[in-house]
Amino acid sequence: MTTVDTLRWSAADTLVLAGRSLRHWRRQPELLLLSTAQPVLLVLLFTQVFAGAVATPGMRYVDWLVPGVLVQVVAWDSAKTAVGVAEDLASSTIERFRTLPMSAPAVLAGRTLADAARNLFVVLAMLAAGTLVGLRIPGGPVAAAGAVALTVAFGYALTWLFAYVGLRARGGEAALAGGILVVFPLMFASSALVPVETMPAWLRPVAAHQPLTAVIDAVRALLRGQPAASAVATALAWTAAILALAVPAAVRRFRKLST
Amino acid sequence: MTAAIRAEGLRKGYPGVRALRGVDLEVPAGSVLALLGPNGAGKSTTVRILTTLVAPDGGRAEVAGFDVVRHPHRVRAAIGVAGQYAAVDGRLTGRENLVLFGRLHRMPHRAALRRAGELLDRFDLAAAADRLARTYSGGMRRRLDLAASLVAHAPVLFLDEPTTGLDPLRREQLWAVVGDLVAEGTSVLLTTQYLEEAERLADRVAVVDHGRVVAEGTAEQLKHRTGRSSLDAAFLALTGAAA
Repeated sequence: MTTVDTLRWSAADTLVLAGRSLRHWRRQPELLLLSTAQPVLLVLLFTQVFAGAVATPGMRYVDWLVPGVLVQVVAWDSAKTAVGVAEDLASSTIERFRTLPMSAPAVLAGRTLADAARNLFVVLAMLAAGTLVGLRIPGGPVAAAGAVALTVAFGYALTWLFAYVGLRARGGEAALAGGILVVFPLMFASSALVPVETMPAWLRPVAAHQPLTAVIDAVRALLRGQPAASAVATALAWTAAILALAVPAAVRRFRKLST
Repeated sequence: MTAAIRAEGLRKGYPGVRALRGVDLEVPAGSVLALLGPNGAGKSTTVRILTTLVAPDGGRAEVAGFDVVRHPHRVRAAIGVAGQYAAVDGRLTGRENLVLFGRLHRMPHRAALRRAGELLDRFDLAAAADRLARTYSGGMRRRLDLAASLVAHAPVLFLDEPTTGLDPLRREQLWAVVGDLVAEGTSVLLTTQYLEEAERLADRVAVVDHGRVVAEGTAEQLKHRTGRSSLDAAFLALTGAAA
């Protein structure tokens, strides 16, 4: 086979396996509904609960918060990739796939693609909920689309990271625990809920320079219609860096299953 | 005649364990070989090497004429694998499971759908075709698993303890299906703990113990060699499990 053929088959296998994951959700619509309802609830609750307590310079709290929760939730959701991969591994589904003449990385690429589709759905639902409680998007539809794309792209990079975690973990629950351990500090030590400047001095530099903050700041700037080029560049750099690290690591780990 | 499966001196060790200590096997095309042995004897490791799931530490093996280490992709295109841990997807219907396997064997969608229909009919699953596989009984799951391994008309079939946990009636049905496949020319490597199963399905039996083939031949030859009247007794004599 030529390289082009190999790529074409890998893409075809990836789509077939992404279709498998999407079917799973169609079979459990209540699961998709609930996992969408949770972030929507977060948007509604946080805007009401924190609005009076948190001072956000020069903007209303809802405009501050929604981009933050958007990226938080996508990061959180991507940890579920670890569970799915670990469960497929434990149930010997992956082993069965490995006896087929298919492209090996497609097992991971299919799942991460399907998870990106789910993230897109959740992000749109949260934006809709945000506008219900007063979110304004002065940046306009093009910038908003850019913000959505950036969020989903970042989530996609994280799902590869968690695919790697899932391949290393023993069982779905261990994978989830490991995923939460990584994601939780990043979610809260960020500019998602409060301005970084309000944090203690030791935490401030960490919170200001971690990937979630970079993406949140870029999404915020895009939605508000502020100059966003440098923030977006930083966010894309993080996304690319995570992909460059996680994709080869996960694929190598997958191939090492055979030793 | 060319061999469907040929293994020479397969060795495999895991930390603290020497799972295989030089396994030699040959399955002539169109025949059935049963790997018989106690738990931990090395049956599963042998199958895992031959189905390209793990690489051997030493020795070599060819399946359908292709080296399992150098041409795993070619081997995978020629084999079907079914087993005790029926890896069917409970959240897909029976039909969807088979179409998925067909697509991953790179069949066009329409062809995969047609093949799924044929197999569902053949394995008596047509009535349940559009139910989720998790609602299937154990016997139905096992049949679906076997059907999935046949989607691409694999000439070489690996059955890893295919009837473990099935009731006698279901076992009998599965044996009939395997018998038909063999009659059509499929080569089969079967692992089993049931001597009756080996005697019923296999042309030859290889007894595996402590990571080695300790005896190989037809059931009759094994009985004759050990001077025992039943394969059960011959097996026990060969594996030293009884005095």
